[in-house]
Amino acid sequence: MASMAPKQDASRKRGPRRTRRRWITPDMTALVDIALLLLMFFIVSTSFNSPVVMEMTVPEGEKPVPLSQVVSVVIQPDGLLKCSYAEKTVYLMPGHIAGLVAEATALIKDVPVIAVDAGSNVRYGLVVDVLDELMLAGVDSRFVRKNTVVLNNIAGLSY
Amino acid sequence: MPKIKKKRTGFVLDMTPLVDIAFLLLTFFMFTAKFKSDTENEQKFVIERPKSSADTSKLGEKDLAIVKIAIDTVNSDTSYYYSISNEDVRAQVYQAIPTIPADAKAMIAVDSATLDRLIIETRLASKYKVKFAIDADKRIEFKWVADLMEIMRKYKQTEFQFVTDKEGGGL
Repeated sequence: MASMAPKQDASRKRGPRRTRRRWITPDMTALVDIALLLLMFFIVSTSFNSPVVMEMTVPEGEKPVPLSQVVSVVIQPDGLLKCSYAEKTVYLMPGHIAGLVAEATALIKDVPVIAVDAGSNVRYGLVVDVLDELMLAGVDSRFVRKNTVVLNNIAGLSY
Repeated sequence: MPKIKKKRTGFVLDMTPLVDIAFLLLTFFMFTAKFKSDTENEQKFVIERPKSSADTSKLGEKDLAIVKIAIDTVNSDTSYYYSISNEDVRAQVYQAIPTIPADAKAMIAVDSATLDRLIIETRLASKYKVKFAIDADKRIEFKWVADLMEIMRKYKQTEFQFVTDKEGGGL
């Protein structure tokens, strides 16, 4: 640094030069135009709805469940749900599963096992809708078996 | 005497903050942008995913095997499509199965017998680390999914994921 000092002094002595001191203003218009164009492109092309997942589990073996514990929900191809539990059968429209779960939990003394049974000609979308509703109703672990989805309410494996 | 006209000057607006923010947003969107992968580019179908609202966990990207069940847009045939995200595992699996051509792409259309082999080979090649996801169209019949679940169960792949779209979209 010290060696630089005399050089600086020498330049000072030449006197101030107006042209050097002037503020440099390059024309940024083109740059900003392109930047904004790219910005708009990226904003428009970004998709925010990335897919989400539902965790599923299939049982390794099979365990018998006492019939008194089972709430069977048969999804019919037309979307109607045939629900049998505690010796009665009701037909439900989709969207009323929360009520069914509440009633079954009250009626069945043991841990109710909700068995969702979808025939092979039922649309997959319907099955997912029913599973989704069951999860919203507080049914947690999902055990899927062949055409039967067994959903175990509250705790413990029962299938 | 004519008035001395003051020379008009075009008014200058300080654009610096605007440009600062624009660049900030630009860099943000550039870094978050996710471009279509090769697999997505090759596919000749659009999967209409079922909607779900209960679960919110995102689909992973690493060590994932995706079985897609989709309806072809041209001849409206339903078929299984298989893809593995991990390239090393993919190469090993493809080598192990003689029916798959050597120049097979990242995602291949398969029948259920090949799918059976693919699942067990993937399990072995990845030392049981790969997660499985079923990405099925909501219009297909459940038997496609049920058959696949039966294969998974046979090979003790008891955990997997159903890929869905979040209800109502959003972030």
